[in-house]
Amino acid sequence: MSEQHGKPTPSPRIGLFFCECGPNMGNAIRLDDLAAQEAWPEAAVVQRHAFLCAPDGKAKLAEQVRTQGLDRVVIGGCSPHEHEATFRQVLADAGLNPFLLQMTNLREQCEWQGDDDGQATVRARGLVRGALWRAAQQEAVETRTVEASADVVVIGGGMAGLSAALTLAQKNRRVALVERSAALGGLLARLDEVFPSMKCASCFLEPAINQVLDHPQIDVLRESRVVSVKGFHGQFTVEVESAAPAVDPSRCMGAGECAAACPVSFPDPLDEGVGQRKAIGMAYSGSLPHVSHVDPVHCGRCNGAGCDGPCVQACPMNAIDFQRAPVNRTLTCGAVVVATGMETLPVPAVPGVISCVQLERMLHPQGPTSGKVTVPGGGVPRRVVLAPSSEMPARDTDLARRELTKLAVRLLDVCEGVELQLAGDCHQATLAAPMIEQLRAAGVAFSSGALDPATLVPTDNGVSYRRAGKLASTGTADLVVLWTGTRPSSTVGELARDLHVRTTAEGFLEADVDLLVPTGTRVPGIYVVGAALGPRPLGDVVRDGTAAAGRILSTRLPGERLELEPLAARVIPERCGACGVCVTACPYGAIRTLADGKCRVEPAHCRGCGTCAAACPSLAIACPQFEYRQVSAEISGLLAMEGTTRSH
Amino acid sequence: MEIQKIDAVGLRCPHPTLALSNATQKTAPGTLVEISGDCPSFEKDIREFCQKKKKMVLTVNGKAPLLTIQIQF
Ligand SMILES: Cc1cc2nc3c(=O)[nH]c(=O)nc-3n(C[C@H](O)[C@H](O)[C@H](O)COP(=O)(O)OP(=O)(O)OC[C@H]3O[C@@H](n4cnc5c(N)ncnc54)[C@H](O)[C@@H]3O)c2cc1C
Repeated sequence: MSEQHGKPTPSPRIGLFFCECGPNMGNAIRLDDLAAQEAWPEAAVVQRHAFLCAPDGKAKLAEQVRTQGLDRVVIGGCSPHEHEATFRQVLADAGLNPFLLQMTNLREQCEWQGDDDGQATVRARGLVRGALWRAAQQEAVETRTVEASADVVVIGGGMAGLSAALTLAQKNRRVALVERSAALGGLLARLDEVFPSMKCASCFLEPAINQVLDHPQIDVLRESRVVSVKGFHGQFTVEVESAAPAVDPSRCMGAGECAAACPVSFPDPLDEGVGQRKAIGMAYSGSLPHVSHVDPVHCGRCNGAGCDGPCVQACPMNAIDFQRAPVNRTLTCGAVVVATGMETLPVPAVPGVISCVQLERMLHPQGPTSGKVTVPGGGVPRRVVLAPSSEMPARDTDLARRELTKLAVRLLDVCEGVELQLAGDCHQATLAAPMIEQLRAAGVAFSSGALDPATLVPTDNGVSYRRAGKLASTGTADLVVLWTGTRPSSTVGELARDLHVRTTAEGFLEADVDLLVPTGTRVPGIYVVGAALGPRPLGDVVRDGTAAAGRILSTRLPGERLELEPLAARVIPERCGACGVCVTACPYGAIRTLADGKCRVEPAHCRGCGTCAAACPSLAIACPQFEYRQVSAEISGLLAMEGTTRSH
Repeated sequence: MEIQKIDAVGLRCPHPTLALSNATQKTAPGTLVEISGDCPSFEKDIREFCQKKKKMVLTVNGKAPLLTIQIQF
């Protein structure tokens, strides 16, 4: 044992306090022996108390700190998880730096392990000695504060993200809305009319988008993705990369000349291939903001296939320029709302079989078929089956039933004399009674069972299908409308890892189980709203967005100051070999390699876990409270115990 | 007096507003513009557009949902 790691010199005045934890301590441990003043020459004061955490226990502790001039406190009692924060506060109130406290857990580690012929007391003595020797090496740690940010980043511009952004901006919060695609609105922008009101989707989506686009407090970043999120509640740093804006939105009038000139045409993913689109043009007819954008995957100028860019000449506003570069931004915010929504699964490629989204697009007056529903050979459908797929995930059931019921009502409206069959127990759809009544009155047949996509076969006069379930049956129809299922946004896995938010087995984001914090996650300051949590109807989506905004408005106030992690790690530059092991080891992305080749810990992002210090091969990372001399003093104290045999 | 007429019947929002915006790019101040439409939010959208662009809504006529709105540019 070196001098440095040896017994503490008398200079620090250490107070040693034993807590009896009521009836919990003193059955295995012999407290009379352990807590004898003469047993501890390292300590200036040795005392025991029945309940140190109770008000009179805390008062006594504080009084001892003050009257005895103590500058270190060691407590032998319960786990630090239980009461370290309590006793740190007592020290602070008594005028001592709270980090000059050392707790040692005698209750779980000795008392509750049982008395093994006096061994419990011997073990406790070792732990206490370790704590005393360590306490002598302890140093005051200062807690720094930074101003918290009250701004918010919302990821995803569907109805959930729009609701959250608008609610926040109405109370003057600055919001950055990061949307992956070129237009706002998400799934709702693809729908025709929505249940339960049967209002046209755009009639309430469009005013919301317009408000967001016009709001001085909201920055909309379209065609953008979140590269990383670091930090904590009140101090997140979000890196966002936005695609090169080939079309200048301040010049584009949405005239569509560029799309007319573009030579590349491909099935439009927005309407799942019902219509065609060009590599440049509006996201969809009437999309907001009403400006063109370039699809870099299909555009010959972007994908290397080669194109001399007739769109550039065709644009009357001179708005197109392929030379612009992507834009990277670093945003600071106090909270993050994730509203990345869901995607729909594709239908089997059988002529006459369409998805609900495809039918929605056909029904839309400004959709690819101008509101006409047709069968593959042309002409109006005479016999239509609407059903869930037997491969549909169970979580979709209610949304599927409500959607199929709504589509049946719409088909009755637009296809005169059509014969409809509605499978999948749609009569059980929630809040759909008026529609079901209307369908029954019109003679629509309701049945149970889903359609097995593998049994869908094209025939001379349409599609033959097989309905699964107890009353399995087969039949033919000239149009089959299938709810295939939903899945989370394809990019959400990466985002969840970065945010440390849990996902379900299917990959949807998981909100916390705390019912009092709806949409909150296990990471304070990160909220998940809308269909990113799993399929749900619009009413719930809007409620989620508003709930998260409400939580943020009430928990993160402008001008608030926040404590930074006091135990944040620090790199000792003289020792750092810049190997970068810490950079990859840090679970919070808090370490960077600087231009001078040294690594640096960003104190605002560090959570004091110590992983970097353990990983560093050059011992170049210091963690307050866990410095090498502190840890080895504790180990030395522990190993200096008498009466036990060393097992290792 | 010359009236500039725009037919937005059958168009869903935001198309009527977009049509109005596009068709009136070069419309001289003072011109009377008449737009008809039948989208449920037609009147609300046109009124909002006029407020933003500082144009005066003169009359709203017809029987919902088919309405004709006169605007002084
Ligand atoms: C066919 C169909 C019909 C429906 N009909 C009805 C109905 O009639 N009535 C009703 O109440 N509900 C209906 N729903 C449900 C309703 O559409 C959804 O609940 C709602 O649109 C979901 O909104 P959202 O904002 O949560 O997600 P979405 O609308 O999916 O929006 C998510 C947004 O986030 C963006 N995004 C995704 N990942 C990222 C990322 N990593 N970074 C940045 N942006 C990202 C997406 O581009 C999208 O714009 C229907 C659903 C379907 C599939």
